[in-house]
Amino acid sequence: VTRAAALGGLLAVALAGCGNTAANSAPVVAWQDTPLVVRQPELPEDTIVSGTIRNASAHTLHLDATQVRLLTAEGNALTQSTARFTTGVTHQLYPPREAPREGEPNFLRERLGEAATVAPGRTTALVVSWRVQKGEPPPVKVDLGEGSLSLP
Amino acid sequence: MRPALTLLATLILLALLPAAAGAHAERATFFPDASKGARPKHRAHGPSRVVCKPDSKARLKKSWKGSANRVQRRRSYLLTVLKRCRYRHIQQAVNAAKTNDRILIMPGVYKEPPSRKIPVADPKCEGDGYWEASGDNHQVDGRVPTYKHQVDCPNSRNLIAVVGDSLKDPDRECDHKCNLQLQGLGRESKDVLIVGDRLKQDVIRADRADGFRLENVTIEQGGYNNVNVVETNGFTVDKLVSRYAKNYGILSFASDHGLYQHINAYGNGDSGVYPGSGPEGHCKRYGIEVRYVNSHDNVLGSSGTAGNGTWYHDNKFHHNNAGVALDSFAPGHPGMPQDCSKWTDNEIYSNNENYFVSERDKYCNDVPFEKRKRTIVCPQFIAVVGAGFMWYGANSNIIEHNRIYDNWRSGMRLFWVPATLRGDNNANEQTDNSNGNRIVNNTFGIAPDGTSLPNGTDVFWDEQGKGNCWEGNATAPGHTLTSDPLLLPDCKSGGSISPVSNPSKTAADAPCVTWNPRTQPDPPGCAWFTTPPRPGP
Repeated sequence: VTRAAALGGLLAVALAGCGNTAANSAPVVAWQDTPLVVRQPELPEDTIVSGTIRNASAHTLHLDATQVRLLTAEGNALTQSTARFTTGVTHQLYPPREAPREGEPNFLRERLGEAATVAPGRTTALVVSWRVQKGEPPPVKVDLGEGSLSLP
Repeated sequence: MRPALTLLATLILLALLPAAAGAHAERATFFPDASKGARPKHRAHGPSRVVCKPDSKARLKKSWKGSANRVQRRRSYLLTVLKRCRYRHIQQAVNAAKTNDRILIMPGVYKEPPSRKIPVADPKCEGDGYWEASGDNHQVDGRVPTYKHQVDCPNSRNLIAVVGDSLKDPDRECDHKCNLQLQGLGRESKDVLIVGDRLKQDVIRADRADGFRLENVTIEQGGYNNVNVVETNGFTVDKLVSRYAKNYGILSFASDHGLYQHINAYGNGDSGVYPGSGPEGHCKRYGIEVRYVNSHDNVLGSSGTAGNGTWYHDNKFHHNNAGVALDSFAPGHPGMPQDCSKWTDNEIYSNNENYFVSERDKYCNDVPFEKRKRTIVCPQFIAVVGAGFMWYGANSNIIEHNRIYDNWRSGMRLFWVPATLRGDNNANEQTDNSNGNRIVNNTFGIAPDGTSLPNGTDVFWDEQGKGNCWEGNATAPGHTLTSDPLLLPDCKSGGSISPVSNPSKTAADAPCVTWNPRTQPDPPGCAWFTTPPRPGP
């Protein structure tokens, strides 16, 4: 990303709303600040949204990236998307093709941002990305399993 | 002890233990005593054991063909040496060796059938004391073998093992088979070929084998590493070809007083050379030297998680997916975060090969390593295709008088890796990288013959860190240093000052972490795995 492209692709959009699907219920999660929207010139079909989310509920959230869905206005989940509860680059200890047969320990999943445990009032990073072909509807909402967020 | 106290004690003990390797799974390791140890020099004399094959005589004559006096003398001498051959397999000679022995390897192909017969999962070493949790806390299938495992089952996971420390004392220092010199006697390194079985992790492992020296051989097809030097104080790897390992051509880990030189490393699924968890010299000394290395056509030319205290000079890293990675990515490498290496007079160029393409993914997913064509490289971890230097979590490094050109994405990338991403959740350590790097007096975008071969962007920096600076870097006539950000802090001013990065740049990299060749080979939002367009002249 060149500086100009980054700035050009950086769309700081205030969210129209956030919270649960039920409009009149208290939100479980909320964006802490306005999330960033990043688009890279070489990936015209791709979008990244990065921000910090806050647990607005009264109970601890156990978030799992594999459960995160990006939903269109019609409620359809995108097939090409990613989600992580970290920003920055890291990788796992074992090459992905040779991952141990047992499930990944929670220490590892949280380090990699595949999972997050968020106490009430606390925050975690959230980065989601997606790819939509021209003409396909973009996502409007992140479904975290526990709570959801509107996308800019 | 009460159960609660026992639990507390266990937790404290676990917290004190250095965790295992990050980019490769290794047992908990410790740095050797830096006040001891020395880099072993070549020895032409002294006790020796000779290893040969039935065709070694013919190969030796062919290798040392010629009528020049020097060649004739050498040939004649080696034919005399050959008469002392008592071993058919290198491991046999190692097993018989005493400290300070030389093991002279006659020209031939060494597949080590006795070692191959020993199963990788040797039932002799299944029980308590032979396995421990990995650095990321895998407890079952992801456990790693302990040092006791290497002692009691040396050829379970290594085709050739030099294991030096006795279990009778706790000092982790070499007691026997120290200062071994394994030396090929061919005219060139290709004349002695050591072939891994593609299942055992290491073709050659030197473990607490202080003074280990390996020279003048070709090693290939390691199930993880071709050469692996662990917790070894004093080592030299010289005149080697290291190719077609699943991961690393030559790897050293938690070792000190080392020298890599005259290495040709290619076709490896992670990096050609990897001096990881390097010596903790804290910028006062460079405990490992890497010179005259030609590392190409790997995923990475060189890498080093916690690649500390290493001086790289007069090397070429080219035609890899990315040239050189230094990082603080993964948990538990001793010496985290990375710091204090020096790079001078290296060439880092044309790192634009791309093994992250869908056809390659499919082949690599469908065919296990042991059945693949040996020359096909399958990426094991992520890399930024088209990057020269790829530094993620690097501190106090000096980069001076290097030539960096024709890397189509970026000549160098410098990024912050928050400490929590390597499992360190201490609030005071989150910005412990990337700080204090001096990038001075390098040449960007010019080949040695003066041709302008620009990088995509010479410097791509996330704008984070304190004391990072760029100064005196040259470019082709009519060109200026291309960078993002446009202005880079100079050294006279004290360098950069921001503890946090440009969030849009961090966000742009973030989806790349989700790369998985089976389930997510092309993460939306990640540009790393697409070959960048060639920059205009």
